[in-house]
Parts: sequence; C-alpha cells; structure tokens
Amino acid sequence: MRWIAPLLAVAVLAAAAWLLWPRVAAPPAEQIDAASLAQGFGTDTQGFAKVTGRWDYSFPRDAGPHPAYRGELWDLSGQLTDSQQRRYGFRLSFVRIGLTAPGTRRESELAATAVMTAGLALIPAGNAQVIQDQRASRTALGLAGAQGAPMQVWVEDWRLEQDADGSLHISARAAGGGLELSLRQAKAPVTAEQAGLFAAGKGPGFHFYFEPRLSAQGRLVTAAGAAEVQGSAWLDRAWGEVGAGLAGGAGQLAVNRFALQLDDGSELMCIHLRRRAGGGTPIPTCLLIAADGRTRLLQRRELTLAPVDGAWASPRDGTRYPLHWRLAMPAADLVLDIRPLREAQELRLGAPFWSGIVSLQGTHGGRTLTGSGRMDLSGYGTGT
Amino acid sequence: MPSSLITGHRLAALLAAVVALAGCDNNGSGKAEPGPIPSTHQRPGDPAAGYDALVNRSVVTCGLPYRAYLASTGNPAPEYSLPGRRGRNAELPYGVTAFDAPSGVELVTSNCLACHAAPLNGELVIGLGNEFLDFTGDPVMAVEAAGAYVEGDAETAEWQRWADRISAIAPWSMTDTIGVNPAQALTLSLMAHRDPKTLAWSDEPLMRLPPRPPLPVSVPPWWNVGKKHAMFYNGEGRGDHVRYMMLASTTCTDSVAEAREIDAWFKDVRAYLATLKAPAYPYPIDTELAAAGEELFRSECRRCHGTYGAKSYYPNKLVALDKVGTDPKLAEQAYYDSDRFVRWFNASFYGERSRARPALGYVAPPLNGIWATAPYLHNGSVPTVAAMLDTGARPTYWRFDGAEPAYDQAQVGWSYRSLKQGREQFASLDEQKWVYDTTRRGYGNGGHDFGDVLNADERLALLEYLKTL
Repeated sequence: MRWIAPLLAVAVLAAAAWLLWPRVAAPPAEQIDAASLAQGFGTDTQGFAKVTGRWDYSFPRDAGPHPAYRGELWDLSGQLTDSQQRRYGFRLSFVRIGLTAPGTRRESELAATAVMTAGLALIPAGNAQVIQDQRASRTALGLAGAQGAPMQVWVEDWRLEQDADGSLHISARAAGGGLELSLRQAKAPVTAEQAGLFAAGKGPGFHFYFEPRLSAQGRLVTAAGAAEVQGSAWLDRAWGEVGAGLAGGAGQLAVNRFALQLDDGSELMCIHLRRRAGGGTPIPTCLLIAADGRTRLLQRRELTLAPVDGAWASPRDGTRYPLHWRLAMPAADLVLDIRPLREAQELRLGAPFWSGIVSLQGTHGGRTLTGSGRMDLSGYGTGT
Repeated sequence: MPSSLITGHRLAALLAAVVALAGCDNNGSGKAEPGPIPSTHQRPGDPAAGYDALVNRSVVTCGLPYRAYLASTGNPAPEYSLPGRRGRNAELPYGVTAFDAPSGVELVTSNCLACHAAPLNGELVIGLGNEFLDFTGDPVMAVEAAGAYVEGDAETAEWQRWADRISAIAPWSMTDTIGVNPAQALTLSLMAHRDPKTLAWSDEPLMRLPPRPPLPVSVPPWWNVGKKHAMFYNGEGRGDHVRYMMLASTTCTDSVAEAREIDAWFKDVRAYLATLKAPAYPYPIDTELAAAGEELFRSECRRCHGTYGAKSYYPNKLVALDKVGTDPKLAEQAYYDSDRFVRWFNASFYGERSRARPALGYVAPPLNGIWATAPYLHNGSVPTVAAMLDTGARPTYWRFDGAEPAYDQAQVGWSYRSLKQGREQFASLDEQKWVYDTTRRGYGNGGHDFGDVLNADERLALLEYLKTL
C-alpha cells in the first residue's frame, strides 16, 4: 500500500490550507496565505528535517509541536448538538510553518521562527449564517505559538491545549460567534503505521496520526445566543513537508478523503483515488476502527465508495462536486449514506476544493445507525 | 475416473475425428489426438543476438514512464547479476526492462524473465520457471496509483494506455495461490479484445471472455524448448514457436506491422532459448544407485519421457487424460470451451505459421533439470519428485515456508510442510495464499500413478538417477 502515501498527504494537508480563504465579505487586514507561503519554499527542506523511515509515536509527547519539521497541522472538526437538537458542524485548525530551521540564532525579540495560522468555522445545519474567520501571526512576542508537555497551540486568542489527563480544550471567537469545548479522548490515537497504509520507509512527506473520536461538550455562541452543546470530534495531526501536498492531488490523481464517526462507536477513515481526467478505475480504501479499537483495512473490491445522484454546482465558479456518496462494505456488513450538512462548504485554494461536515445514515451489523464526519473533495475544477 | 466420463471423452474424440475427416474444419477449430506430436521446422536465428534482445528489448510495447517508476518503487538496485544488460537496463532488476516508446517517453515494463527466470542458490537461472511469484495482488490498484507520479501530457498518455490495458485484463491476471501463473488466462483475455486480422484493440471485448478464476498453471522450464514440438502442456503450441513465444505482445501491440517487427528479432530469442541447458544438480549423487535407477527408468519411464545422456531421444508424446489421470480441467477447458480462441489464433498474425489444436491429454515433458523445477505436474500440485513416484505420499494441503525454502535432497524438491486443513484455517489472505489446496477445481494432485508399483528401494534408485538429468 505504499503508493497511497503522497495522496493521503495531499488530502490531509490540503485540508489545512482551507482556513486561509474566508468566505465572509470582509477579509482581515493582514492575511497570510499559508498555502502560497508553503509552496514558495518548494520541496527543499532548507535545514528542516526530512521525513524518512518510521516515527516512534509517543503520547502525549507527539500532541505537541515538532519544530524540526517545516510544517505542522492540528485540525479538529466535528458535529455538535444543542438542547433543541439543532446540529452544528465545527472546524478549528492550526497550521505552523517554520521560517527558520532550528539552531539558527535570531537576536531580536520580534524574531520569529515560525508563522501560525488558524481558522474557525461554525456551520449550522439549515440556513443560518455560517461563521468563518481566520487568524495569522508570527510566533514572536507570545502572539502565537506551539508548545509541548503539555500541548498548547495558539494564535492570538484562539487556543487548543491539552491537560495532564489528556483532555483537550479549545476556545475561539470570531465576529459572528465562537466556541469553547472540552474534549475527552474516547478512542486511542491511530498512527500512520497502525493505519497500515504505508510500507516501512515509504511513507508520505510527513508523519501523521489521528484521534478518531473525541467526546465534546461546551458552549457555542452565535448571533442567536449561547447554547450548551455536546457531540463528537476528530483530530488530525501531521508534521513534515507541507508545500508538496496542497494541490488537491498528485500527478494524474485526485483524492477525496472521508473521516466518519458512527453512533455505534466505530469510525472510518476512507480515501478515494481517481484519475483527474476521468476514466480508469477509482480505488477506495477504508480503515474501519471498531468500537474496541481494533482496526481493519478494506480496499478496492472489498468495498464500494461512489457518488450517487447528481452533483452540486458551486455558485462561485460552477465547479461540480458530487456531495452525496454511498459506502458499502459487505465483509463488515456496513452500508452508509453520506450527505453534506450543508452544500456550500467549499474552499478556494489554488484549485477548487470542497471540505465540510457530513451527516451519515446507514446500517452496520444489521442495526440502523447515524453519524457524522468530514469529507474533503478535490480535483473537480475544470481548469486544474 | 468415472467410466461415463471416459466414454464421453472417447465419443468427443471420435466426433472430432469425424468432423476433421469430413473437412468441416475450415473455421480452424480442429482438435488433436493423443500420440506423438509431429515436429515443425523452426525458423533459424542468431542466439547471441537473441540473448541481447531478451535482456534489453521489450516484447510488451507499453509500460510505466521511467520517472514514475523511479518515484513509485524507490529505484531498487538489481539483486542478481544478469550479464549483457545495457544502458538503463543495467540499473534495473532483472524482471523489468526499460525502452523508448515512439512517443519519446522512456517506459519500464515487466519482461519475460520475471516469470521465466528464478534465483537458485543465490544465482539467477535463466529459463527456470519462478514458482514463488505472487499474483494474488490486485494490479488495478498498482497501475492506477502509479498515476500519482506521472506528469505531463506525453507521460500521462503512456501511463493511461498501459493502465487501461492492465485493468482490462486484471481479473485474469490474478490468482489466489502463490506460485500458480495466470499467463494463459490473461493471454486469452487479451485476444478477446482484439480483431484477429488487424490486431486492433477494442475496449469492449469482441467475444466471450475466458472463465474465471484462472486455472493453476506451473511455469515450465525454457531449457527444454529445443526438444519440444508443442510448447504447452496440452499439446498446443505446435507449428512456429516464435509466434507463441511473443504472445505477450498482445498486451499493447495494436497493429500487424508492429507484431511483424517484433517477430523479426524474436526469431533470435527462440534460437537463444534452444541453446539453454538445464542446471546440474549441485549436491552429491550416489552414482551406483543412479545407475540402478537408470535401468528402472528405461523399463518404466522411457516410453513417455524419452532417454537422456549420450544417446538421448524425446518422444513428444501426448498422453490421453484417462491414461495419465492428472487433473483434467486445464485440458478440458482448452478442448471444450476455447473454440473461439482457437479460431482467433488461427486467423491472426500469431497463427500465420501454425494451427492451434488442443487435445484431451497432457504431454509427458522432457525431464532435463527436473530436480530444479519443483513443484510438479502442469498445475504444480505435487511438491517433490518423491511424491510424484508415490501417490500415497502426496499431501492434500501443503505450503512452502516462504519464497526461499531449503532444498530437500531426499525428496528431490523444495522443502514443504503438509497441512491438516486448507486455506480456511487462516484469517488473512497473506497466510491463505501460501496454501496449495489440491481439493480445489484445477488443483488436483491425482494421476501419474506409475511409480506406485515400485518398492521403496526402487524409488530411491530412480530418484537418484533423476538427479543426474
């Protein structure tokens, strides 16, 4: 499975860049485009560590930053419900891009070794206003930073931090609303090696792990007021070369990614590869994480993951995204219907990219279930 | 074998004979009878040029762009030395060849040696069929995923062409047991996509595809091709051998003109293959015991397998199914369910100098180098020569312990383990694929029971003699 490496890199890191393109009318005065910034560095590591071989994952150490590497990502997304059963998707991401390799001395207090960007999205189901904002700052004068033991990642007043007991807390406020959550690990993290997607020494340009289930509770503030919310979240973590992976595909392939949580306590991480130009045979691969934490990799003919119905056309540029998908894994007795929480969750990177919260309905082991997750769709722009 | 089936075979043979005699054979679906296979004069060639072509040229005219090959494989260094590899090929493992496509893109593709050469005691032996290849993986995943490393219009066009072809035949390129080779099934599936006259490719098959899954076939050694009148187990592959040998070109050769160009140098490859000699048994031989074995061989085995040494003679004898008694599925499928492929072959460039004539039987092979070519029979179902000589010693379920097992000098073959159950005892395909299950369709290990009449001492002597071939 070593071939899947660069595409996973793309899927995960393309997701990181999304937060840099606000959809609200008034962009902030200072806007750092981490995508262009990272691509400007090219693939030369310039003193930063190269990702080779296996990583010896250790927690909570690896929750914190890895400044030896050029880029790093903390990407938290999930679905919350309030006491009135109203649903909200949410997303809080932090990206750290190293400016100078460790060991380089900088004298000034204003000197920064990195740039941090962060993005927040609150996506109510239905027609209420989407709240979206971003922050960016150099890691100087305490304006932004990432530390480990215990993990703290922040840009201005937006924070993601971890307690001694492993629980996470986030806090972020934007013009239209804000979010404060406490998150408890409900499942052990899954590392790149455990996912079994890469042969030893043939991984992608970065190391990664993900936390496939965090129980969330806290407070959501929108124009309508404050609400107590609870739900579940998924945390993606990756560090290494960011620049290579932001095109929404590699070579002749485009990749879609699905991070799904089922209400029976199981999760799925699925990747769908296809030819950019169409034709060929799309290759789906899913890692199924059972309620007891055991993982199972199903590929290609062991499952079907395909779009159904027509596609949604973006009012922005006409790009057509298939937003309704069906997943079937007969060997796991699983069938899922995947639909977006709302249609307009696209991003504008170099290429059109849809990345948003989805709702699930289906059956697993004969029982009906629901769930939620995130879907990233790339490579649908005609001009790419 | 149930007597009704024997009657059925005889009846079918009789009908085939009648049809042939009546001259209704004008669509080329003739069948052959058991008995000696006539020889055909083979076109001469230059063996030295043939060796150079074998290791440097490609009969498959599509492949993965070299840059994508580098990126996706990490460019592994060749593990075995293969003399005469020139240019880029000197840097590549023996099973792949690089060449320049007419489009100008440098491509890498599998070559004949991937199946027809194998390591033996640390050296690469050309012509030794590789009995440890793993065709259980899904080629579609590999060829589609390789697209991640492909850039630019020219490379993309080449990659797509290659990926589309491989994907079209993928179901016939996959087996579920290590060691068995799908070459026959995948060649038939390629034919089904081509116009026999023009060789033009059609994405939609033009005739009914071959059955799935492929029946198990063991790769025979090359060093006997000079003696064999028919190249294949069931007596097919008569006439001009070059055209059969180059059938891999049906992957991407889309015109008769291109096929003719390949044929022009493939004559030399055949000439080289005809010079190959079997590797000598590398362990001690008890010459007295072997001499006693030779006496036994002359009385028990010579009539079908010929004689060896100073005055050697090979009878090219096709033995009827009900006489040899080995798994009939391969011969039956070629005889009863392959008329469309026989017609295709006979009407095509590949059949220009031959006539395909399947038979209900198997050819007793030459035994040169038999010590090295375990496992045995056309389907590789019998792990050792000792088990060939004693049906009671043949395991129903067995496996090798990895791709480089130790050699068993007493049993004459690779060391193996007998198992109590079949694949179902293992949860993962990684374990299941190693199990040779002789109860499955096409995998039967019965028949060739001619050694059962021997006593233990006689078998030992005969085994010792067979080591000398």
